[in-house]
Amino acid sequence: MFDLINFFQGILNTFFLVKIFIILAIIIYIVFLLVVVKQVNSLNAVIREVSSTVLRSFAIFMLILAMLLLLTALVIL
Amino acid sequence: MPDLFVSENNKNPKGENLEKKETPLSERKILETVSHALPSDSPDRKVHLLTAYCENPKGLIFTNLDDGEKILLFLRRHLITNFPWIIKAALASLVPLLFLIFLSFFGVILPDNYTFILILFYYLALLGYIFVQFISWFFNITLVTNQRVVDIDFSQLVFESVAATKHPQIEDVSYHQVGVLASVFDYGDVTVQTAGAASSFLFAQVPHPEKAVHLINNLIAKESNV
Repeated sequence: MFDLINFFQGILNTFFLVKIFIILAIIIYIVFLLVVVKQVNSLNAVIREVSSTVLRSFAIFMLILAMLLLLTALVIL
Repeated sequence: MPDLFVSENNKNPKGENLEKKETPLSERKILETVSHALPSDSPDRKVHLLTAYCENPKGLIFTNLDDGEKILLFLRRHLITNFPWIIKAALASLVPLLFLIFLSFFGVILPDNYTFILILFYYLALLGYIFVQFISWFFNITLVTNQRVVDIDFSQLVFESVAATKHPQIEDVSYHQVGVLASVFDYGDVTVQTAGAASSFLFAQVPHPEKAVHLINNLIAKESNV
């Protein structure tokens, strides 16, 4: 019985909740970046200039960074 | 009556008469309109990442351009109007530092791995904010072509619209310059009243509004004479 209580206490400790919160926040952020990439692509289809490619690359770069951050958080937290 | 004399310039090596292909009258008039609307010293300019005002822009592709349509003026909000969000982002970049000082002041110390991930996430989110603000500015474009005025609106990722009106439908063009900054940096709001479905177009905080209004007015005046 005590083991079970300890187990739940361990799960519900502050840092575990913080970890869940951080991972959820990063996932939401990745979804947000997917919308950004989609919007940049759709606007590039309407109007294109030399620097449009730079913006699209930067949006994809941020998405990759966010995915790497999610992986890092899953590993080290 | 046959021509008695044909200039040598009009003969090709085979000795046949070369007929000059005449440009249609309406096309000629439009070309004249364009050349009069723009100042004579406005060469083609390349649009770059931070361009806010450009006459005869080069390297710009608007996919809905009709045949024979040429972009004469490219407008975005003045660069200085980005200043508020740049200041906000600069201040926000100091928050993690202040937060860590605040925590240590109360004796709360987060584990290193949590601190690392939280700070990385915070700066990535800040980068996202900066990027969204930038593309909201970057994709808010007004184009004046030799046939119409096109307004591309994009705001905070969720609002996107492309509206256009032909020059004959334009009823009135005016501009307002309000505030010290607007006067110093020469930017203002240009309003184009139309007879079309979209009753008016507002080009907010564009550089050199007087020049833009002058150009659009010239185009309308010349086109009404055609």
